[in-house]
Amino acid sequence: MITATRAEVIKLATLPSLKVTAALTWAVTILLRPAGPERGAVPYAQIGVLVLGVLAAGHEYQGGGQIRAALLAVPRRPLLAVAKAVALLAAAGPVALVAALLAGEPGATGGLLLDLLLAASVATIMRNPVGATAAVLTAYEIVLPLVRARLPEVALPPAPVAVAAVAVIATVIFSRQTV
Amino acid sequence: MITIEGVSRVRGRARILHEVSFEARAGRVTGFLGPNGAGKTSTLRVLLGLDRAQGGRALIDGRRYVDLDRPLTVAGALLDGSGAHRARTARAHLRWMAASNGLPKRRVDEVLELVGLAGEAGKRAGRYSLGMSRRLGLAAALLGDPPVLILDEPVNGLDPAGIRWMRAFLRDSAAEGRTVLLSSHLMGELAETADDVVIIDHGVVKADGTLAEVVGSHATLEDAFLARTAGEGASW
Repeated sequence: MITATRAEVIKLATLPSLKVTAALTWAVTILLRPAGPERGAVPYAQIGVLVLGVLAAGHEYQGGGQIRAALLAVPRRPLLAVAKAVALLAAAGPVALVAALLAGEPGATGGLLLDLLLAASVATIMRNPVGATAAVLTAYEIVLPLVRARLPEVALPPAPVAVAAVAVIATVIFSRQTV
Repeated sequence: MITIEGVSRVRGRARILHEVSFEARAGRVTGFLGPNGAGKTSTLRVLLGLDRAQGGRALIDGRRYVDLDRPLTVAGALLDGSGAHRARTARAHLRWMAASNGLPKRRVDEVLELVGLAGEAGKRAGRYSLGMSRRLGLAAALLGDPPVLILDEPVNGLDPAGIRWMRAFLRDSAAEGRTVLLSSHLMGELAETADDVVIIDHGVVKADGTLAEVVGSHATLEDAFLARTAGEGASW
């Protein structure tokens, strides 16, 4: 478990697109904060964090067959899924924390970590980073605001419950998917 | 030692493998021969725990691959593609694979040297040629210095020098006492490399024995192969 998690952290740390996404997330947050957007800078940092989560999980399925190498190295799939989640929070969690600090709302860190896990879960289910990015951004920027505005009487589940449910579904699918 | 016992696999209504049984022994190169779509890759994927069989058992030294604690130290596998993400360097790819099985970092440099990629280790995997990608895949398979090697079409995409290198490497590995199982649809290649031959067609083992036994009264392995898989038309 510890070795599997360490391997996943190395994977995240040596993927150039993740560094670029983290840097862009911080840059956008820094640049937007002085402009004083209506909802604060956190919703913009959130977009960067969602992309980060999608890339971290979805890059396994891009060309080259890395997911097969990962399963040859750690064939117990539920264990690998947990190692991936722990590594994601360890490696990308600090990115979310710094983004929240830069936005001037350190209390938003917890929410950003949930966004990170949700995005990674969706990418694991869809296995396509572009499609998964479209799906999470549509859900966050269009579907959720629409539901809140048009159907205020609908009680949405609390974010931690919703994210946990999607993460469990992703783990079950991951344990069965053909790669 | 690899033991495949009565492995059957069905996908949808299609029969992929039907009671496939054979052994690959230590110190020998076992060639797994069949036309495209015969079930070679499916058998190897079941053996490596990537696919589930509906029946039978596929064991490496008596254990299922998914039950191995540090599988890279027991069996090394080379499948289609290098297994490396195209944006990652070869060295970084091997580093995470080594870390996943608690292998020391120096093994990364050792296997890079072994497959002749030491000078290109800092290049991104996406910029590798096909031959270099195969070498990187082989380097990953060798990380844990495993006693068992499982290779799916290892010479595909290699140039003549690469094929000769791979052949010598596989012979040397068997001479060191390793179990070497390789699949191929290239009969000439297998006749040069294998000690034992298993022929599979339409998910069923058609022949299994030493190279001499399988060739039998036929002039070449190719004749023996076509005689045992004949009548099915062009599978290519």
